[in-house]
Amino acid sequence: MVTDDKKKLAIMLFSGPYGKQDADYMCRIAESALNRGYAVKIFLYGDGVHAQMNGQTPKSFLNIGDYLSELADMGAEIKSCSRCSGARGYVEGEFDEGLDRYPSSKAIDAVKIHTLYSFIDMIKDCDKIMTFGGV
Amino acid sequence: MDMNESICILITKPPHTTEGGKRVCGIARRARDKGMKVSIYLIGDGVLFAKKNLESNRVISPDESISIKVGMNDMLARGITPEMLDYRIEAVDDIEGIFVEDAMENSKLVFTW
Repeated sequence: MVTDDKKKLAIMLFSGPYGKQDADYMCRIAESALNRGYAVKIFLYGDGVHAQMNGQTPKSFLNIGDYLSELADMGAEIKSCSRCSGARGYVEGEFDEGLDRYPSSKAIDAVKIHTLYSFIDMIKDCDKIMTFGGV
Repeated sequence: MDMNESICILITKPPHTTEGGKRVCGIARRARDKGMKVSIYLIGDGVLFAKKNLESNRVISPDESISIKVGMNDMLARGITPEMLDYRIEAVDDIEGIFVEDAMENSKLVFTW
């Protein structure tokens, strides 16, 4: 449970899993932050939204989908960009106010597909921002 | 030195594939020259910065005023042993934890490259 007295770390991931290791590094940093008692908020952007794909089964790499689910279980808030997700075929309908997310059977439950405004809310509220996978 | 005079830099990319290595080393050195405390953390392919005898794109500061730590597991995964490191670089096991704590508690700015 995230409480207001924790310092908050916001992380943006720009690149997808497996082609590069940025998602691995991001998850490792997020896990370390959670283990040290910091609140962690992750936003998937651009090709980074592919980290939310359901049913990832890498043979010899870290499973990023499973790792994100574990981070969510540890308390991380994870969202992805709705436009980036829509462009890549993840969005399957209009925004669901009740579920506070765009519907997608292709994305893992741990990730909420949301608008870019939610990233702005994340950075307005955080103590530090880190980015992974930028050029 | 207070938080406002400290930056920490996480490097995940190798030193020579793109010009980014040169750029981030330049930022580190100039921040140091301006009197800031600079800490560099090397993970992933960034551990290649830690090898001694690099002729260019070095992160080492001649006066040792820049703290540099490298992730032991990533280093060993790339065939780099402790004997291959510049003597000013410290290999650590829990580099993610050390970096996060430094970033959150001691640094005004955090660069990730």
